[in-house]
Amino acid sequence: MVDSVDEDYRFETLPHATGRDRAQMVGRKLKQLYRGTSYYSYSLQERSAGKRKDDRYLFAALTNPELLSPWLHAIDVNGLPVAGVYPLPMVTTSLIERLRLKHANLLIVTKNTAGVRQTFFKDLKFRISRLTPLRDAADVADQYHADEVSNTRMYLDALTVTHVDDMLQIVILDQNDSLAGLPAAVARGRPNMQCHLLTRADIMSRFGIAATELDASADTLHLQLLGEGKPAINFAPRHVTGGFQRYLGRRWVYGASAATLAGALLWSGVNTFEVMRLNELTENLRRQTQDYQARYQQVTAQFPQAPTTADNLRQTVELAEQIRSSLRTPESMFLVVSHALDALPQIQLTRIAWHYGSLPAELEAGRSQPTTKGHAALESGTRVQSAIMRGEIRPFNGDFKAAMGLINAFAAQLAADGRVAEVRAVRLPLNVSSDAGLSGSTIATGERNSAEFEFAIIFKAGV
Amino acid sequence: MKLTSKDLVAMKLPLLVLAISIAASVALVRFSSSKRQGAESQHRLQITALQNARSRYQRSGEERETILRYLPAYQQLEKEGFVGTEQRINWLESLRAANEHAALFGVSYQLDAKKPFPLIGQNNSMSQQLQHSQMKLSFGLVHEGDLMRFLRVLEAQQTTIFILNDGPRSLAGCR
Repeated sequence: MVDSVDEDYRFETLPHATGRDRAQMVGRKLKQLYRGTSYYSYSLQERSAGKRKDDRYLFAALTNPELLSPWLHAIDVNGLPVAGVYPLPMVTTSLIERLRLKHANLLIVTKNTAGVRQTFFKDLKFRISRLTPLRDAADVADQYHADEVSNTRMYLDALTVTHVDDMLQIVILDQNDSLAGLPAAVARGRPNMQCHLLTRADIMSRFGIAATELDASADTLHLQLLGEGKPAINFAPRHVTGGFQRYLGRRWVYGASAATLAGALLWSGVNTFEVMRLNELTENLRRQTQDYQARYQQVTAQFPQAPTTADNLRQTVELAEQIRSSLRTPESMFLVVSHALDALPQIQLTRIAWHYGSLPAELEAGRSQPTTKGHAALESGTRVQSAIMRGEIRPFNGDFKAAMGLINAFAAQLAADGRVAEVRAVRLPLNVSSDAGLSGSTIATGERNSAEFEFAIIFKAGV
Repeated sequence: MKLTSKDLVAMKLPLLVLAISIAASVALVRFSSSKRQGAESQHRLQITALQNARSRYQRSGEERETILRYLPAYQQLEKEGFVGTEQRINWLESLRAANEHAALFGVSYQLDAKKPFPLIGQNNSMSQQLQHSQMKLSFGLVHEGDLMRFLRVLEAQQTTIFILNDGPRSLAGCR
């Protein structure tokens, strides 16, 4: 915190800008205003009420940077970080909020190490600040400080910041009770000035500062205020606060490490708690299970001796019954064919091959062909009885029309049986289909004495 | 903002601490999470075990009834060789006896190695263990009635349970 007369405050109105544009514009302005120092800063105060809505800035600088050099050198040598270089008047600004001051024309007078500081606020916004040296003799000092206050008032009137008739409220912060006579001295000076004195006791009670701390320095109150909040103006350039930035970075990383570890510990704690809860529940369940098992053992001790479990017994027996019930013999097929043959004695059976199981591929493939009986599609893996039957018409005199009539009648006879799902002609004596070629001779018919054919007979599922 | 070598040196230790902290945190969370998952799994298993034990105890009366009902049939299946090892010698003896009873002129057989039987009892869990041996028989017939007689004799002997897949390959001159 810097409290020196080598300071400068000025207000400038600049076109409204934001972001990088504002930073560049203000940066140029600061360099233009303060060529001899790198300790400067700015604060956006307000936007003007005019049409342009320009921005009103407060520019401030420490005009004598050499003043700080020995202090900064000492800090650097000790490896301490510099957070900022703050002017004391900007620290004073926080008193408005702390003391809930609402006056339109407010002058705060404080006695610090460097002297008596007068900081004026118009409509609670910083306007000017003056530093005057201390006077040792109390009776002379009060009048001297009162004169300085009057000078400040005249200066404000001259600047038309205040009007002669305006009431100036003066708040005097008397940290060591040495300015007790100042309000009276000010009152004697000129009218329209009202003083409010905060004594050492008031400061101690309102700000919670111990007496020993107030005795330690005349700047204790401002140092306390600085610790509570960051002022709007910070003179320190980047190269001065580099160490502090590193310090903040280290602190942030350490904080992140601690937060990560704390989060993990919390998470693990929740997990551990859940594990303990689940283990307890599992143990209870285990006890109940063992109880049921013991009771079951007691009950089953009276059961008849069995080579396997009850379920296995039941399933094995049911499986055996299922297999037994699925036994089929060719007898039904023979009966169906024999019955059809009895009705048509001209037809001779030459070969029959019976099958029980999934429909053979050659029969399954031909199931879309027209049949003598409608049929429903078989489910995959369904076991059915089927047969390929080969026969002939004997005697055969070459009359294919009559032979085909007999074969069709034979097929109809087979299909009439309720057990038969489908009868399909696999081969006929004469292929009369328009899809295939046909050749022969009427002379040669006499040489043939039989007309051979082949049927596929498929039983219904479950027969 | 540009980082200088001074910044990097200053951040070395904090970053190392952060890395260690992250590694330790990840390890801690993973370890505790795996423990929790294990406990949850154990808990679920124990719930299932309890349900099974309770259900088993509650069904113990039914189980007794099942044993009483199915045990004799099961023992009969053991005798027939349906349960346990195949009794092939008995099968051959049955063939010989059936041949004699049906007055056939001898039966040739060809027995394949045992293999799983997938077609029957797919809804029955014991069907997973079901195996079968395929036997091909060749014999001459005077009349198709001989075949039926032979099969009936074979079934009546109850040597084992069998299913016919394919019938006569050739049957000529029969009416």
